[in-house]
Amino acid sequence: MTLNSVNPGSDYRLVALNASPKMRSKLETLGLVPGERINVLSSTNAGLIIEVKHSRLAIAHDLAGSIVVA
Amino acid sequence: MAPPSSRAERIALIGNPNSGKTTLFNELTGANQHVGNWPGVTVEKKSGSLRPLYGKSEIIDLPGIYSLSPFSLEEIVSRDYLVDEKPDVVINIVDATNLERNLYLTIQLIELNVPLVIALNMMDEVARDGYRIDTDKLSHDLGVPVVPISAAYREGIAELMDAVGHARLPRRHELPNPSLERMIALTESLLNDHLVREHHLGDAIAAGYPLHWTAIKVLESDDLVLRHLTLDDTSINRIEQLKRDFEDEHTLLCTAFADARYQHIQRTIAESYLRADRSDTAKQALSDRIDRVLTHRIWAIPIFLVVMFAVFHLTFTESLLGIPGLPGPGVALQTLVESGIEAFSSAFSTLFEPGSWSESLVINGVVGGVGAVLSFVPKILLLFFFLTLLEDCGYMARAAFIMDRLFKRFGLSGKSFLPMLMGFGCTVPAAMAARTMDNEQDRRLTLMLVPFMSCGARAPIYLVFAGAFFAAYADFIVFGLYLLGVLVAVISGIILRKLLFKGEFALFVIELPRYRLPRWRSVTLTLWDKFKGYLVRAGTIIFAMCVVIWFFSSFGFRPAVEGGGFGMVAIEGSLLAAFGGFIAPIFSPLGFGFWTAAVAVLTGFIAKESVVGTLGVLMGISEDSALGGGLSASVLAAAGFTPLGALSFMVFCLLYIPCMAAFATLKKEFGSWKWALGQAAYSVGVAYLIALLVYQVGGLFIGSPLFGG
Repeated sequence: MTLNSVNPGSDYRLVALNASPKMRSKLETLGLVPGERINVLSSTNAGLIIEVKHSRLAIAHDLAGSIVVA
Repeated sequence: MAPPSSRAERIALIGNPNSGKTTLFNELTGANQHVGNWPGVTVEKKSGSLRPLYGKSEIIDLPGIYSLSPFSLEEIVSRDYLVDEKPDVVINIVDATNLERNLYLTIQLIELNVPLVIALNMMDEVARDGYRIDTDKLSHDLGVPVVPISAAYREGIAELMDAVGHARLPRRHELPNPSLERMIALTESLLNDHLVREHHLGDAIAAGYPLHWTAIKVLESDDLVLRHLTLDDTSINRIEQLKRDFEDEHTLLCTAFADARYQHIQRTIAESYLRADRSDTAKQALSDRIDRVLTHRIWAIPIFLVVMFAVFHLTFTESLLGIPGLPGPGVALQTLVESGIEAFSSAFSTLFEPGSWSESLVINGVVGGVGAVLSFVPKILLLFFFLTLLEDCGYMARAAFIMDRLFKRFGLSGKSFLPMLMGFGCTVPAAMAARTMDNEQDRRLTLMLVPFMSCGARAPIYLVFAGAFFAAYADFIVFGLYLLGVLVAVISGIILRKLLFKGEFALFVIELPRYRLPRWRSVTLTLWDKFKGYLVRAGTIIFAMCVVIWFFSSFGFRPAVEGGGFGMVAIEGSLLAAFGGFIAPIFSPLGFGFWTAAVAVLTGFIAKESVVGTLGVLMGISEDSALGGGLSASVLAAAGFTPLGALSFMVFCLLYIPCMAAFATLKKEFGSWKWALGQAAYSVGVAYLIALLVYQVGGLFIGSPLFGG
């Protein structure tokens, strides 16, 4: 499933990033590497707030749709 | 302690955004800072000399970045600086509360093989998070000196500078991925063979790129490094084959590198980054709790609107909290500065012979013109003060997030929200604020649109004209004009995105820093920077333009009855008035085709606040009384304004080319005359078109003459 269809308050593992090379590199730099634990803190109409490696990232829904998690 | 050894003459400061880098830079340099641009790009370059107490070095503040990949201007600039300029020591500031993520940049700096010292910031918060960092162990395992500091509380700075005096090159790290390491080794020997075969060193190696780092960059498909290397086809093909083989068997090389670096970091800090006994994560939890309110699905936008209203109310209101006669802090400060300029002007004018051209030049031209611009500085600084507070405490990142969805519909990103907001204050800092955007297309589009936000200097025009012609619903008209500006920006955004900025637009991801109390020192230093910027501009370009305009508005060909010849004349006879008369017919279809309005439009380019002043002067009314109601409907009507013409005039003034200070800034930010002139032409075109629509379509409704005016 992708990150925009998950339940807030749960933990997921990153499987893959279906983004352009530039965007993928940016997300990887921010800690979104394969197998990484992603804690979804909240999801609103603005987008998602996730916790990755102790930092908080705000991600728009369309971008979350390119992040595959399990 | 003696100042550290003089070995480190040039120190570079590098770190993630939100790591406290600016605070540390401010502490290291005090106010000895120079702000400029990196050559050829619009990334801000800050440098300064170390405060004597810390030594004698020059220190460069590199942009806040997460990585050294070549994907943003900031990253390229930082990397080029490290490689080409070879600073003696690099201080890498690391946010201890976000250790893993911050060390990603550190690992890349180690790959680049630069003399490195780590300043481990925010150690006090680590304990409160329930963690403990063994800095000696961390330093040992990383092979880099690690000095715990608190930039905000100015602790550990002397120790940091002591370590800088003894900095060495870091040792090479091996990534925990054997196939990847094998790839690096293969590429290294390939590059080496190439260099030996060619009997010359490629540009990149000659420029000092270390072989190991170059090999990694080649594998990461780093275009900039590849271009420098000038590899022959055989080598390129062999490397491509290597990469394909690896990616077929494993994963994308870029992903493999990111993954291996993070794994390496986890292993390296495993014995030094420890969970303390206490398991409470109170501080982080507090930040998350605040976010639950401020980014709430329903409350986020109302709260955002209240915050923004409060900022604008405090900055611009004439009656605080609606209490008549109680000016807000912005207006009170402006009044203070205006009376200061007036006192200065009248004291200064006694030095000149009354009526002489030198008095006219200095008092009317320079003091009047520069003063008009300076009188807006308090409001702009106050707006900046509030926005800096919001930025420093962490709210701005949330505001960008909340606004992203809305802005995306107009072809913009949430990150253009801050520049657009600042545009209501002043276009100049707004255009500069667009630098933080991480996509060049988005930044340029934002620069195109920011001038349509109605800046503070345009407000007096609305107040005078709406007051004179539409007194009963002046508020409605003024609000409508602000809205029109936003609407034009929105529609332009959609159109320009389709026509000019067709590329992929950046998907939105932003780090939400922890909420922190703002530091007064850093807020005041930021304001001081802005203030200096204004003083410099007021003293140079605005000064020069004031002299030019003064000349054209004070000199002309005297009529024969006064003896003829060229010399000082009243403004009606000036070159400017003649030119105004010449171009006035252009404005006839808009309903203000007479020379006074044309001249006001021209001086409006100097500064929009001078539109009202110019009309006042041209109609023989002082500027003060022009604003105070002297420019009444009857006076304006005598000059040729009809109510509909006044409306059209306001619309034109809202939209046409921003003032010259803004134009000069746009030129600098675009980095080209072509773009700046394009923006100017576009805005004049849009202004003309919409004012024309207002006057002609409005004319149909109220039955006044179609065409002419």
